[in-house]
Amino acid sequence: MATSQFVLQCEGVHKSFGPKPVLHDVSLNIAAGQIVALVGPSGCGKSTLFNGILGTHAPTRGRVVVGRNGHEHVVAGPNRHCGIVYQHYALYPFLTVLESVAFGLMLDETSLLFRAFRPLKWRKLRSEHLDRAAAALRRVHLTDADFGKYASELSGGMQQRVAVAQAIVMRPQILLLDEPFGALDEATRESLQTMLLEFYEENRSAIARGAAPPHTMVIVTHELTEAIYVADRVLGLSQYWDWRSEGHAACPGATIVYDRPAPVYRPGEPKNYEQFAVQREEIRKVVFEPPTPTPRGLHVTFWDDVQAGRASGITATNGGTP
Amino acid sequence: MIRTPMPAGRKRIITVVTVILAIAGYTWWSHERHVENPKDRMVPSWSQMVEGFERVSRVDEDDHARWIVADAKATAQRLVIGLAASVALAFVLGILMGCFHAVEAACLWWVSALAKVPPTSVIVVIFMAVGTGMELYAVVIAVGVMPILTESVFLLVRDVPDEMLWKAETLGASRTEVVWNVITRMVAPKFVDNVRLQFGPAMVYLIAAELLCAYVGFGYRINKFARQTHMDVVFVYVLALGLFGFAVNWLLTEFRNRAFPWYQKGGR
Repeated sequence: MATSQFVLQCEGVHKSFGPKPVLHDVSLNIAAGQIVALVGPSGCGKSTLFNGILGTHAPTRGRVVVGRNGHEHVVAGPNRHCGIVYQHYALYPFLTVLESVAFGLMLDETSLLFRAFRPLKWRKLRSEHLDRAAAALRRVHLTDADFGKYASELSGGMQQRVAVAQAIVMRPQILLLDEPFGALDEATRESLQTMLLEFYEENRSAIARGAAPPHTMVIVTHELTEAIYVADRVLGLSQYWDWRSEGHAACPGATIVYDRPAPVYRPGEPKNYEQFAVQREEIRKVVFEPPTPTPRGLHVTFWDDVQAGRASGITATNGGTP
Repeated sequence: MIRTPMPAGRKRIITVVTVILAIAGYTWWSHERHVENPKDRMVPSWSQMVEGFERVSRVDEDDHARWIVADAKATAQRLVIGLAASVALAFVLGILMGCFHAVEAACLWWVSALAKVPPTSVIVVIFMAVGTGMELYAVVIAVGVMPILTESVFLLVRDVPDEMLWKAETLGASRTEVVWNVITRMVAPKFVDNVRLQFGPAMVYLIAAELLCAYVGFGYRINKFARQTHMDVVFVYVLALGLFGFAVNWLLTEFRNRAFPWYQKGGR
């Protein structure tokens, strides 16, 4: 697969906090249209990797590149190319639902000076922003009756839908979701998982039309079933790998020890729990269990699986070139 | 049980009852004093207070002015100028300190140290430095109120979650827009609350400065009549100050609720 087709590339990312190593030689490539789940034990450095991709915590060594087709740039801070959805929503309390989603459009497409000195043009553009925001909110199944509410007046599930709409309306190169459904009840969680499958379906439709898939996502989650269900690829980050075989006296940090395709589901398609159980068990053994350290490349086979036709997601339908 | 909800009507009744009890208690106390000494002016009766009000609200032959109007005008002018300057300076400095570590490093120590200095103790120093004009009162209020307000804004800015700032950057905000469109808007209603709470201390510092240095103003008049034990006039001024403070408090609360409806609805 050509390098320029990857939307996200982590190249030998290392991260230490003082003398404490957290990430060791994390390298991964994510293609446009993929939904990738990142799992790992608590404290393994998932958030550190996530923050490295977002740009809030620069790697000690290595680099993160976002973008493709000649528009690649090295991440040096939070930027317009990476969208973000947090577990606790991080919605702005001073904005209504509709304003929240139009907020990014305003920040991205206008400046303070434009808004201050071109009031008529700004008014016209504002109306267009609100229309686009309304369309994004309807896509995440919020109704017009909710548009005038403040974040404090919404349930957790509705707030998370607003957060997702706020991110997707910006059409970021990659959308990062940090345990997005962790604080929600089971029913709301399932409904939001279906929403992600709908986004994946949009990607497939876009590819079928010969267009670029609109949504590429990395979702950090603790739930293995959720990871396998919503993603087309599961990444396992862990400190439990055979670092002694690489000549280290102590663990140099967590790295990617699992990278395999996940089964692809369509929205509303019944879950195959037997299939989940097999992959869950495999992930648990490789990623979460300390007693049997694994050589790190053994289960990092995603792109080999794609080439061998063992993957069923977007990368497979396009022969690895979405 | 702690925080057991209570109907709004019952709350109002309790408030009214406490006010009636306070008025009744004062009336009884004043009556008792006047039984012993009918000319007592330390705890004036209601009729004496009405006379006191009439005295300060008619045109004085020497000054050719109504004292209470002239005093209210002078005190309000000093308070507005002093408080406005303090609020503007505190807001800008607090935001900058909360946003930029270099500004924090340069200013926090000074602001914290100033906040510990009782402004009444430096009135004489300020008097020597700036004289007895409007600057004196503005500086006294600023010394008393500005450091605390600045620290409060600084802490409010630091309380804005990093996630909200990072998210704004992912939405395309410039650094200036993060400060203006996120931080300032998050902090503003709480800042209005802090100004409301600092209004009382600002009045204290101003009245203290007027007691010492002014020839017109509430502090000057209270001092003058207190020395003559004319509490009928003093109480009128104290009541006027109380009503003024109450009105400003109500206005600021109304302003906060109307300007930041999200805050009233529980947004934080």
